Amino acid sequence: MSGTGPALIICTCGGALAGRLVFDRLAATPGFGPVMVTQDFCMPEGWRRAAVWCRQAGADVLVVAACGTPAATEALGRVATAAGLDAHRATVVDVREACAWVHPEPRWATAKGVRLIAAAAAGLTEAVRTPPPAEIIPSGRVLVVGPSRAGLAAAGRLRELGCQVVVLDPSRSDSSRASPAGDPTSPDSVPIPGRLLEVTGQAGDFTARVETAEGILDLRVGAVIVAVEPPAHVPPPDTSSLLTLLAMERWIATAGTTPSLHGKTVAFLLEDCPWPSATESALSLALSLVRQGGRSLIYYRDLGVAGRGLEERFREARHAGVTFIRMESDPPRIGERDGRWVVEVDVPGLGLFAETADVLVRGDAARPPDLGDLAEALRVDLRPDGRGPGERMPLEPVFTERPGVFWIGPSRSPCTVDQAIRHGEAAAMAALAAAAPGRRAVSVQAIVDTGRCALCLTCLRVCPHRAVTIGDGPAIEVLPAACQGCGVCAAACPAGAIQMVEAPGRRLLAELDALLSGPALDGDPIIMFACANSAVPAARTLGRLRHAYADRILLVSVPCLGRIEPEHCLRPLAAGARRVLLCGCYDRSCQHLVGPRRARMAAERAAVVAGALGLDGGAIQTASVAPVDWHRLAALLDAVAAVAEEGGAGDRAARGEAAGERAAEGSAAGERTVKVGTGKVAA
Amino acid sequence: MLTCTALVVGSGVAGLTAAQALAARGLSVMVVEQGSVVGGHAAGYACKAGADCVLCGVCLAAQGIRSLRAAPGPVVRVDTSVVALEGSPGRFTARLVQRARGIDVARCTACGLCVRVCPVGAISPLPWAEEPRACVLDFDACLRASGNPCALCREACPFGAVRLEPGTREDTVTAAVVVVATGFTPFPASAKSRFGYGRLPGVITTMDLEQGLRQQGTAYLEHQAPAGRRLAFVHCVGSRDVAAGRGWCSQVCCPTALRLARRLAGDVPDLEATLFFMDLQRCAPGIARLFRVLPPEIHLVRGLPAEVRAGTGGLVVTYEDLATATRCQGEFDVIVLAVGMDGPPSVGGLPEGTGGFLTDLPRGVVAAGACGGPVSIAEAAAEGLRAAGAALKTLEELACPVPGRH
Ligand SMILES: Cc1cc2nc3c(=O)[nH]c(=O)nc-3n(C[C@H](O)[C@H](O)[C@H](O)COP(=O)(O)OP(=O)(O)OC[C@H]3O[C@@H](n4cnc5c(N)ncnc54)[C@H](O)[C@@H]3O)c2cc1C
Ligand code: SF4
Ligand code: SF4
Ligand code: SF4
Ligand code: SF4
Repeated sequence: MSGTGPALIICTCGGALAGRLVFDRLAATPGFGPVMVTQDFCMPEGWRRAAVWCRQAGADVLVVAACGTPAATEALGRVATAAGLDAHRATVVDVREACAWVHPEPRWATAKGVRLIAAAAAGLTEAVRTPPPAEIIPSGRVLVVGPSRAGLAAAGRLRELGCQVVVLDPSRSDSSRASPAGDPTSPDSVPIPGRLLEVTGQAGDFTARVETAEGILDLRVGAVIVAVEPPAHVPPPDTSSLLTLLAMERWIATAGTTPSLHGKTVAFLLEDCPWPSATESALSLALSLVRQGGRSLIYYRDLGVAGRGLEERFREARHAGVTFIRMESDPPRIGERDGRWVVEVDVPGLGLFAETADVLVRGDAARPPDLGDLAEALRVDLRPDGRGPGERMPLEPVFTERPGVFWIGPSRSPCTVDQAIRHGEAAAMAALAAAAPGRRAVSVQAIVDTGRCALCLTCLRVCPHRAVTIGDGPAIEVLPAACQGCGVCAAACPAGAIQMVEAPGRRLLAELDALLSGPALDGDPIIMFACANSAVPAARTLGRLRHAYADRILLVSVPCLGRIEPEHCLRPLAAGARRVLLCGCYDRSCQHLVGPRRARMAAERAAVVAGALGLDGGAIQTASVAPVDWHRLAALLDAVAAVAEEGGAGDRAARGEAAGERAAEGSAAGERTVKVGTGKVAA
Repeated sequence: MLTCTALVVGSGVAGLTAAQALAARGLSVMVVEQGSVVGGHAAGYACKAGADCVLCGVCLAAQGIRSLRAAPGPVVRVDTSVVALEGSPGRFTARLVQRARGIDVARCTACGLCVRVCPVGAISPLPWAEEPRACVLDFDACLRASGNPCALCREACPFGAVRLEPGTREDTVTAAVVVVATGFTPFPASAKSRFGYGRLPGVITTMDLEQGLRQQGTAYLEHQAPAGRRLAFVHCVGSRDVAAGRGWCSQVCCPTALRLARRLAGDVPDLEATLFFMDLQRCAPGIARLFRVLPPEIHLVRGLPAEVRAGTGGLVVTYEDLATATRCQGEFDVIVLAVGMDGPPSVGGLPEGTGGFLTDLPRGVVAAGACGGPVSIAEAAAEGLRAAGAALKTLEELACPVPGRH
């Protein structure tokens, strides 16, 4: 129903907010129609009452001024459903943790609350309607690339769970050896020699193009698990006396025994190999040689024993007679005498220590095969060392940036046998979630206006989750099961053709404009864009600790800092904001991988434009914080407020009365301020 | 008696991940947690980022807790221990003991009115806890423990959330499959009396430091030793030590000690940290690089200290430097013992192997995370996924009419 305007519900939290907020002034926030004041919005009786009221008020937009708890958000969802409101037309504004608890003077806390409420309403009024969810019909089949231990563990578990599995063996793809022409679509087929060329589509509904002996074929799969192993060289014949660990392992695995090593001395050089996987294979080889009457020497600097059962096996090997030699600084000096190797090391306390050996085995950190083509086929990035996907916290230890694509085994990071199998089974479960048959509804988070789209393909390039594709038309399409709603594409699109459902472009600006006007705060506003994954939870903890900070700091929650455009930084400065702060995750902890980097780019560009417009480009700042680290956030907020204070000294003098008032109220508040830890806590 | 299809014991990273994965497959899942908050050990650790994140995984754990409310999600019961487990696949029964929390989690809004009126400070609003956002009443501190009829908090609570009846309640829950994710117990550092933990001021553990940093920031260090700027980290305390009955490497303490030392060296001016170790474990993601590029304030010494004594100018550490094979002494203000991981608290009916870690569990019971052996946070999350898969497999094999399947 239109005409009533947005509706407002104010929750006093059982009266706990009385005296900290002026409810009459909150209720008088301009632009609202009906207003309800309640005291128990998150309780069942409270939200039921609110739902009835909301229906009667006929509101089509609802703002609830309450607390930042999950319970309040849940209650909001219930009210919206009961009142027949679109989920994206209702929101909670946290006036408890963000105002009442952190700004000791009720006057300023209320003024900030009014701005937050008005901004929320402005954002909602402009919001797009929730599009219907997209439907995915997963294929029920998973492609495993690489019949390694990890890959076979994944395949085995998936079959046990009723999934079809196709295992591709890229290491044999170009071998001329005749291989059983397995049918890739039959559920229990053996690994098929073949190469992965391209994976298009989204989790649940990928098309994997593979090249096999039969030619090129397209497979429909719901998930892809990469588990390739280092190439299987068959090592040189047993005359060789210089091997790598991997070669020796393969050799023994193929030959079954090593008669030629009977009674011989083998030296393992692990000085540059602190990996548990290297320790694991060296220990088992050394032990078997010793048990066959030979001698084993293991040279090491740091023995990698951080794997299940490795320390125990190390002790077993020592008792069985394997010699361990710890070296310090220099690498061992290797020479030859009478057809045998001489290994010389400087052992602290013992001096030069020489041993002769028949065979030298060098630890290699199980170097992966060249993964470039595979990574390109999957559109997944490699690390600088050429291994599997990026060294990022959110991707550890089996995920990649592309939903539905998983990466495990030694081509990701050196891992022990036990770990490879565990990761295989973990990836199987993750793949099942994407591929399991049965219709799945996926909410749509980004909408492309094909009329505006200039087909510049910027979105295709920047989307961190590979969710953008070129569909029929040709037209840009966002794949809903891949899209994670970060908004990086919307921020980057030069034509403004992409709208986010949670925070569409216009909505964020509308919200900003509303936030920048309204009742006076104690100083010019400081706008802080806060990442919903890190800065928002940290700020909420500050609120729960009732840690006081400057009320002029206004938080604007964004799904990811990558959502921020230069315009978002400039608009506040033009409207008189003192500073603009972009606060989110660290580069390596960002769920969307590129958020902080893109925020820095946006800030830099905004600073340049600001200079041209005669605004203070230096007032735009980026910062990182973890969701659990409220200390850093508190220090950051204090520092930002202090800088803004200095910068604003001139106009503060002009607004002298406000400052005087603040000083008077501040001293009264000061008495209620106690020190806890590093932070000030408002009583 | 309660029922569910999958019971998850413990709400650490492993348990939560398993529970969420199983609930997402449409099963009815119950998580039972003995603590007052969800998240296990990792929910209490500190971020160790310097200029960039050092991949410690603590925010990953926080993320998992925050996503707990996503539908369809598991049912979580806090303040409840599983004390015994029996039965066979398809029909397990777990005995539960629920400790009174004093506050009804479903009705508390953490508004703090009760906290303010309590004359003896017996109620904590747990401001650091992600879930549940509800206060806890300490019945031992409450005036009613000594017969006083005080009920100020009950009167103050606008939502009727205060329940002043102490004690425990027993219950049982049946489940077709069980995921045990009971985690680990930190090594009791006072058992190594030569390091002076609990005896010498300034000797703390990495666990203390993690939690102190999380709650108080770097001020925690100030409380341990005012103006103390010389730190020593002792590795392998209660790990790789057959004499102490702990012959395993705990895997996480090398990276944790380094990350903590880096964070402190970055945040506290003039701080110097020395790491005493046997072998540096650098297999955790990103750790090899951190060890390679050490800031000048961090020193590495190969060799574990023999003992820690109180000296005139601080705490005196005697050790043998293995790189030079010399006996040395060093003076420090704070000694941080990098404690290892012991097995989980016992649950009746579950077999324990070396160190109390769970092995050879009966069919239908799956171990996830640190209760099966030391793991990091990221690995615990993978373990949760793996265990969820194993539990589903058992259900698949049983093909039994699964009670409570959605
Ligand atoms: C000092 C220290 C620092 C560390 N720092 C890091 C780090 O920086 N990064 C990292 O990756 N890892 C770190 N770790 C390792 C990390 O703590 C573990 O990987 C992680 O906590 C394991 O998670 P979990 O779920 O297996 O067990 P836990 O976190 O131990 O959770 C188990 C849960 O089960 C509950 N429980 C136990 N028994 C019962 C029962 N009978 N009934 C009901 N509930 C029960 C417990 O209350 C607990 O909440 C550290 C470890 C230590 C000792
Ligand atoms: S919102 Fe993020 S994940 Fe979705 S399409 Fe845009 S850039 Fe990709
Ligand atoms: S250091 Fe740890 S808590 Fe901090 S951002 Fe990185 S992973 Fe998260
Ligand atoms: S009954 Fe009294 S003493 Fe006990 S918790 Fe409540 S207010 Fe505190
Ligand atoms: S991780 Fe390091 S400190 Fe911990 S037990 Fe292993 S070697 Fe010792």
